[in-house]
Amino acid sequence: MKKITVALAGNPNCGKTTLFNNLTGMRHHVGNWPGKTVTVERKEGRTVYDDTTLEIVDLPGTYSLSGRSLEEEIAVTYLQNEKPDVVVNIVDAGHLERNLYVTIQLIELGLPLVLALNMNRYADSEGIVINTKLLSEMLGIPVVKIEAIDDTGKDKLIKEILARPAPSKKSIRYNRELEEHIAETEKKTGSRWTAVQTLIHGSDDSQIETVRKHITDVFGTNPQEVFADQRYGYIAGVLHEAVSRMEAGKKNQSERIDRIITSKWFGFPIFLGIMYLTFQIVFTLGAPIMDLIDQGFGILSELAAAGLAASLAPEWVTSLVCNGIIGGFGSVIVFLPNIFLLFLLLAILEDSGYLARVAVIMDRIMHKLGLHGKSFIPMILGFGCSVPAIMAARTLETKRERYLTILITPFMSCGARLPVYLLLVGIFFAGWSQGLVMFSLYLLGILVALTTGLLLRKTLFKGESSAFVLEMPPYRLPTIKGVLIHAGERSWEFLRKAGVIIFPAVLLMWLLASLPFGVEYASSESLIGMAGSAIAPVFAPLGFGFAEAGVAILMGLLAKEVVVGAFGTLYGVGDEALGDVLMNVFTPLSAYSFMVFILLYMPCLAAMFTIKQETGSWKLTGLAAVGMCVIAGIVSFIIYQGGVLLGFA
Amino acid sequence: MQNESVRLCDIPSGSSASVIGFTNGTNNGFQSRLLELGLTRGSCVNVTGFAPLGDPMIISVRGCQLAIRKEDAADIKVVAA
Repeated sequence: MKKITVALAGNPNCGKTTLFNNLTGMRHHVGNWPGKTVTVERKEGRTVYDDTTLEIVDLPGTYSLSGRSLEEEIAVTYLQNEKPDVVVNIVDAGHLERNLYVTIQLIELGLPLVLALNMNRYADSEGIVINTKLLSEMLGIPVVKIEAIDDTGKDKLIKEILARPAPSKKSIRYNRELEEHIAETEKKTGSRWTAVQTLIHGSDDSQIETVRKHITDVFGTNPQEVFADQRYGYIAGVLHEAVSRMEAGKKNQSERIDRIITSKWFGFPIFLGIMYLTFQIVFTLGAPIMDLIDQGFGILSELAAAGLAASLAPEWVTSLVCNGIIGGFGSVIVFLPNIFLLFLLLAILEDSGYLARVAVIMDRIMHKLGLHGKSFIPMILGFGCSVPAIMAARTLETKRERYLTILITPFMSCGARLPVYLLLVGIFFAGWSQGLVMFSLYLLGILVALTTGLLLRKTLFKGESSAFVLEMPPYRLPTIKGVLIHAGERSWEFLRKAGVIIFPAVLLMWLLASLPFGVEYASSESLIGMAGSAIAPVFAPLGFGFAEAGVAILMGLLAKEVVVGAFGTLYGVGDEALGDVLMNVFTPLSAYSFMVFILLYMPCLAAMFTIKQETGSWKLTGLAAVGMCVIAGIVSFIIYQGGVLLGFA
Repeated sequence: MQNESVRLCDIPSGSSASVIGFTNGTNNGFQSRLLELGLTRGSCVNVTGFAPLGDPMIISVRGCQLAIRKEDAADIKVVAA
């Protein structure tokens, strides 16, 4: 059987991933591009046509191939080193001028190219008429009209891929002056492409620098502007011939929508409304499914206990299986409905183009913290689960912004902290004050995140935030398939990541809670119980200096909602009686202080593991862990002692 | 007839301008990003609006909508069209 490697290249937001999903179905594999400290997703998949296997690689979306950003560097390195058999360049037919900028560079690189015109329906509605035959002739490559969201043009595209096109002979010609310098430089660099690249971006070679200086003098501006000018000039020439615009075309829809969505008066109300609706849907739809899963694991645990008892297994085996394995995995899987729903809604917001607007709306505020408007998106995701939220910081451009965002995102109150609030708020607060207390905790998380960001910016991460240019993609109706694939992938990644860390962590925690041999699980006689008692005095100034709180906090490192279960085990009572017991050890003030501590101290091990993965630094991860515990201690201290002074004790 | 060159950030919402270049000393990477996005000499920029807090500004270039901070747009020299 023959095998062809196909790389998909193009601008961000041109439907590249949609086409990838359409071609490969769900049969694909998400990995990482190698050799980078920061992970960038590498998606590969395969599909079979006739007797040929197509190995499809989804390259990162880029506006250029200059190799200046991480994404561009990855794309260019791949195209030059791994030499795919065919490159499919997906372009947005409605925004051809900007999209062709990458196309002419792909041609310049000398790659076998097929141009896939996507979103023709949108272009039609805007009154844009493209003569594909002429376009194909002028660029010297096959051009196919497709619609990535359905199968329109798919067969034709595959036919062109299987035909293995030759590299175009019609590469862009710059004006004579430039062509002479390119020819001259080519003798040094070896290829036309590298000659052009060195002339644009400069090099250490003094001779080339002299040429660049000469170009600057002749054209009155620097080489990169000269080349960009001529490239866009060339594109304008091609479009002038091959594209016509009908007068009757509708005026730009997206611009009109943005006049409301990003307007002074409606911008924030709409944003808050959408966020409120998102969380409302996630929690109301997710809660019953969560309960079901919780019950399911309860039943499973009971069945396992009964089964093990019947087969006369020692007690520690039963404890390992029920408390350790089933309990541990249950505590992760129980969040899956919430996380999937959150990702589903976020995928809808993202695919529709709204998230880009959120970044724009929030940029003013984030900029004050030395961050980028895009940093706000990981922070929002943090309300669901810190693990995918930390991973979402990948989209930020500079390392500094990525690290800052990663470090402050865990302060956003994730779904796992909610059960703790629900338990304590239910016991110590009544009526309308319940909602207020909950809201204050979420707000406090945001405030601490922003303050920490500001402090870090003034100390560890000095420097200006990178310049902000963000494309606002046209509003589009998301497709069901696209959204489901998107949400499914991220949920799966969460499960996989959590699973990798959760299993050893569960075993370790179980061991600490079960040793020395014979003690009751997680009781005060166990290792973890003793450790809890030992650290308890530290928490006295915060209002909860008793052993059980110390143990619960330690157990919470596994996953924050485990705090609830830990109290149950430690006091040896069921859910109903727990309230009465906790009434004796907490006051409303110390309960609030405790919740604040749970909110702010270091996140669960899965989140810490993700921080390590994304930053590649144990040092930074350790610093984050210690820093968050210290911040939690300080804030709780201020709240408790302040409350005592005000007479709330 | 040559109009006075102004900064892109001073162009009011709803107006168009034509790019004439960048202020000397503009960050190189940033400049090349803007060029790649089509803000080359002579290109037409339409200011379509501002974010709710007044910054960034939203512009339309070569049929695409971009958001750009005012302090960055200050480096782009234009003439009002």
